[in-house]
Amino acid sequence: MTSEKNAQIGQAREAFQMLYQVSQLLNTGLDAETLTICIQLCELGVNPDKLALVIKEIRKMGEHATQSKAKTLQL
Amino acid sequence: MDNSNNIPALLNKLCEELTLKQDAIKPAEAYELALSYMTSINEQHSIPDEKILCQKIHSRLSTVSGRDADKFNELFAKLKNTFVLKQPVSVLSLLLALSEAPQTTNSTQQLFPVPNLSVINSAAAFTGASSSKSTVGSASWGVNTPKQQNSNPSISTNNSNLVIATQSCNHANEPACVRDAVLAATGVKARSSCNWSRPVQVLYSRIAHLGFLHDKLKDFIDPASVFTPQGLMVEGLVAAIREELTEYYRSVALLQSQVCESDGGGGTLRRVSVWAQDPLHRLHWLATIVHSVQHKRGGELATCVHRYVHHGDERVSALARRLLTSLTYPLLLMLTRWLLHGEIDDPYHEFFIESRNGVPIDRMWHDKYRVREWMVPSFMCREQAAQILATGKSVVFMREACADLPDQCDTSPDHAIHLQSLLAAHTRTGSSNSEVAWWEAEGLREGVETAHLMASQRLLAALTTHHHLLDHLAAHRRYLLLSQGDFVHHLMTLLQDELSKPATSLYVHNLTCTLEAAVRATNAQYEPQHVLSRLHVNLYPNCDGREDSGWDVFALQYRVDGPLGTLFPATCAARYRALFTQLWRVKRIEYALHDAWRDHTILQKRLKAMPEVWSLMRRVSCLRAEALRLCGALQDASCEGAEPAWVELLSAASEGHHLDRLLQLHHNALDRHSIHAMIHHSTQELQSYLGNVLNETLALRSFETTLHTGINTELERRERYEALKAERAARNEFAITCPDEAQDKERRKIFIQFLASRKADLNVWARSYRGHVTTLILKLALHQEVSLQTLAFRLDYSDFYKRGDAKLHEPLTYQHKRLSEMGLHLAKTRLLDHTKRK
Repeated sequence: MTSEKNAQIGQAREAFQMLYQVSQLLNTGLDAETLTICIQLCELGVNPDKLALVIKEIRKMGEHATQSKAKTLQL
Repeated sequence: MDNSNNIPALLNKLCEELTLKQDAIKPAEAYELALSYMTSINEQHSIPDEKILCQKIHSRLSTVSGRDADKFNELFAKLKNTFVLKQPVSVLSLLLALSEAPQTTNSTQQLFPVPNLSVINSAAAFTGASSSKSTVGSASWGVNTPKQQNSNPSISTNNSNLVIATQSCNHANEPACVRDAVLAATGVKARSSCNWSRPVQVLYSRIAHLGFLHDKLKDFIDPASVFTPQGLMVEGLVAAIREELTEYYRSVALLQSQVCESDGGGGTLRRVSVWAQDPLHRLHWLATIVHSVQHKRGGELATCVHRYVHHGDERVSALARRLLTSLTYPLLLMLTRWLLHGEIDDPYHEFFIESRNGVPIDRMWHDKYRVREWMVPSFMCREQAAQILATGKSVVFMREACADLPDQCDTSPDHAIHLQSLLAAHTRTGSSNSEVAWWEAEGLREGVETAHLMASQRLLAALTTHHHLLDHLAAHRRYLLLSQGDFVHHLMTLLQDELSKPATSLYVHNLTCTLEAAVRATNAQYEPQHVLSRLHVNLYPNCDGREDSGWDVFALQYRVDGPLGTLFPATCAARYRALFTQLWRVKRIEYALHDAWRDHTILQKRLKAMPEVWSLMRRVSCLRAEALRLCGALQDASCEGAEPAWVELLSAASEGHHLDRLLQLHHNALDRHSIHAMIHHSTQELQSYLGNVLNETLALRSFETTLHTGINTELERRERYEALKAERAARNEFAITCPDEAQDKERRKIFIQFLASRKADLNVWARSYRGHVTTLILKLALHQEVSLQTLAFRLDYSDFYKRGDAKLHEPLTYQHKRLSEMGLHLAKTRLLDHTKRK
């Protein structure tokens, strides 16, 4: 039983590694932890397009915030 | 299912992760945003087809790099085999949506075409194992063509034709033949041959040519081969070629696998031969380049490969570019090291700057380093090489001769950043084609220039501030070239008696005391201590054993040491000494003539009662004035002639030009001085004529001395005679006795005779003197140096000598030239007027 579980975990890890490599190839900018969460979300059936949109929006927000911060610092 | 696995919790975690990196926004805001997006319109999205998704990703990757695309295929195939993921497609589509165009490519672009022999295989490779094994179907074609055009157009366009062509091919021994051909491409000998049809043989030999080229390259990169010269740059080339070959092997391996897998239908000899087109071209050029660089190393090697960069064929040029970038990397390292630290690390003598052993420190600047002309790569011009040499030299000079390092670390100079960025750019881009290689980048030239500027400015600043370069230059001019008038005059006055003694009775320490006295009494005392402490007296006895007077051996000396010793080397000191001797000689003659004038003037007052000497004295003083004027003109000329050169030198020094330029200007100034003092190698003839004139002038001085002593003794005798007469008259005796009168008469007669012979001497002297002066003027006028021609004009501005000598009427003289030039000019203007009127 445990060996089966172990094998499953190993397989999952392997799959994750592969996905991580694909993510690197595609230059998505996701780190390992974020990717883990994303995979879990996808497994739960979240719409991937929407998820992508959310991530992009949050990134954009961050950029805006840092820019405005920089501007205020300059002023 | 535990708590962490429901969607909102995960979303929250995601938001936290994302906002962790950017602290500008709060996770809560992000979470709200995410929730609003997620819940907005909850329409059922259509899960994209797996195949289409794969193709999308593949095409995106293959635009960037073929290797990445291959890697993806591999990964995807593996991913299909693991059944852990329930929604792999969804994850992939997420990744695709998030993917961005990369700014820089990390991997090399594809060098060799990926073989894509069979349609079935290619489709399988792209869509994974799950895709149905379709035969050549139109649907699958339509999907595949755009991708294939990206990687290897030659095959995709020919594919359909080939399928038809292969139908007619001999099917029986085809697979064996193809296998042999593929093996032959890597230089492995085939086991069987000869029993094929002729067209097959032709195709086979085409492919087998790859093997030949491959073997050739393999020989070159073989470390045990004797043909490969040693050297880092050759290693660079070998590495580049090895990389090319690795790519080639990869391509061949893929080909082989496809040939072996496909069961007859896919791999035909013709397809392989089409695939071989590109590798053939590439290997052919690689082999050509390798052949041409044999027995070359270092810069020659770079030059040799650089020739191919200008090849008209883009592929060849790109290939050469890649090779050159790879092989010049050691050169770049050496260059940077040399420019920044002045160190040469060149075990195989490949760098174009050479350091020579055993050069003493004072010759370091001139002799230690030099450019190996034949090693300068052709992408670098000669000036650049010279600049690079000067830069490193300055750095070394600063370190070794000036022994100062303080501001090396704290200023972090611009050029260092420049060069570091060059290095960084090189290491980052690897052999990527899109970026400009270091050897053709603007940055190199700029970097070298700024490095040169910074180094030379730093060096010059150190020399002028710590080592008083300008002070020493000025001191050389003031004391060795006699431009400090009061000092020179005073020294002359003090030394006059001493130097008239024979050279053997002179001692340096006595003269040094005199020099110090002269310094104390004149403006020279205000010179800074570092200048005065270097001013010395020296005696340079002649080797030929002549009886020299002190004048012949005396010379001032200015001792420079430390880093300046490098700039004023022994040769320079010798030139200064020669100049000093000549100038000192003219000065001394002038001084002697002035001395004679003083004696003359003192004597003049007592000559009222001696009318018989008046005419002679007058004539002597006229001739003396003539000689004095000549001396004055000579000195003026030597000052004025070199003045512009000195001005240029000093302004260059204050503007902070580089040291080589200063040295050159200094050399120029010395040249000008030598020319005007007529001791330059181009004025050797003049030197002897000038020597004659000066000797004659000295003879005038000795003539006057004898004349003055003669007159003085006669005057004294007469005074004594008169005194005797007056005394006798006071004693009421007869003033004159008979024998006295007779004696007086006798004496007067002797004196008259003395005067007559002096007069004759003077006439002889005047004739020979004028003869010498006339020759000198003539030679000056004929000299090609314009300033000497003007000197001739100046010496004879009133045509005095010209009237006396027919030789000076020759039309080569400066005056004639000037007149004729004026005449020409007039004629030209007249002609112009004439044409205008017409």
